[in-house]
Amino acid sequence: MIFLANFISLAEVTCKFGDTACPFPAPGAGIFVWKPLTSINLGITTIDITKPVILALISTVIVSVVFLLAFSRPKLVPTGIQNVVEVGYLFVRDNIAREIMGKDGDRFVPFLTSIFFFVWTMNVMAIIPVAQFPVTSKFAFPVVLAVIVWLIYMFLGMKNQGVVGYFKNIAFPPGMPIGIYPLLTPIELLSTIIIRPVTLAIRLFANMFAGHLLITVFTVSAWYLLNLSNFVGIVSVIGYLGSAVSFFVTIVLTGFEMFIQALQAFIFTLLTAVFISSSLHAEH
Amino acid sequence: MVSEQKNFRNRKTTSDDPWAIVGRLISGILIYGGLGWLIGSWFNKVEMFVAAGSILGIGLALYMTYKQLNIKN
Amino acid sequence: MSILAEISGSLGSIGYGLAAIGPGVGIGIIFGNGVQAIARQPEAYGVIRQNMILGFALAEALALIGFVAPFVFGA
Repeated sequence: MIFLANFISLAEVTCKFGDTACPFPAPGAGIFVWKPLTSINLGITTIDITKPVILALISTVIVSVVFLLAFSRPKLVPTGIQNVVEVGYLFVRDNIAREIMGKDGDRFVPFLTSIFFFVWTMNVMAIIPVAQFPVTSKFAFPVVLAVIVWLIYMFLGMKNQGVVGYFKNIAFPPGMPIGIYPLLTPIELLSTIIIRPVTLAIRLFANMFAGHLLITVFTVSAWYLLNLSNFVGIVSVIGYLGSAVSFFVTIVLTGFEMFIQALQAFIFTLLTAVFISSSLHAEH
Repeated sequence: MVSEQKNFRNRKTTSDDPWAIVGRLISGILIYGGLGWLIGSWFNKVEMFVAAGSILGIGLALYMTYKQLNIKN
Repeated sequence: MSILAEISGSLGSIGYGLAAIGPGVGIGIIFGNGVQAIARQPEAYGVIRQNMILGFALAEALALIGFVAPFVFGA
């Protein structure tokens, strides 16, 4: 029970089933804040082990174990689990790396595969029964992933084009009349160095946050509308009807959410490939 | 004839990438809006200069996008 | 004259929400027609894509102005 619903709510939930006249316990940002199950006190900081942390660790273990099992003893003609995992690996290699970077992007495919399946597993935690929380809807997780991608493409850019050359290539986009460059250079520098990882993190975070909040709202409303026992007669039928509709919408939204989870993982990986490729080859 | 080979030069370059354009618009707003805010706080008329700076930033970003798309007529 | 109805709270987000309807529809129309044009004549892919991106940039600029306006004119 503590694992399931240990969050710190902004509004105290006082409704029990069968209560009359209690207000709608609207889920807000509070459903994303979890009380720690245990705390490790290290003197200067404390590490709280909360449910998202445990789910992130479980995702790591799942992705690592599946890929290790599949490729520990690879055969030329794949059988068993290697067959299935190879489909995933080839999906990332053909549709993401080869599309964007060509054949010399093959050395980045392991990194892109790890990112794709890790982000997808963390997203899918939203619909697995006991877990039911998308880990990427805590802002720290997409931020860390975006920082890793940022470090990688900055390092690759500086390695392939020289430290000064890389910034010169970003700052002076080709095709402009010369006199206007002092106005355009800050825009290009800020856009490439700061805004790219920020939008990468925010896109993933906002999609998962919004999806989880929507599903929670409709689930709570399905439970709440079943509870209007202070009405009798025809109005209680409206309550039951509303509850059934809310439940149906929850199911539809869960299906939509499954699509969005896969899509957001794909877009994250695709944009990582685009950033890496624009670091490897200078623009024109 | 549509070329069948997956030439990796067909990828979106920076001038074609929609998210790069959104990033450029946001950076234009932030930089020139911020400059407008600094100037406005000196002149004590913050809103006017922030608005002017933001519009200038958007205009510059749109001009950059138009120039980089290289539309031949 | 007494106040009959009032919206309080975060007016900026309501403003942005209303401001994002138009550009959303506009961008959908732009890319929809672009995809249709590419389907009709795949050789013209380069020209169509460039004009599509230009139209998208203009429509997106309006949505971002709507996002910035509360901070500019706000209290």
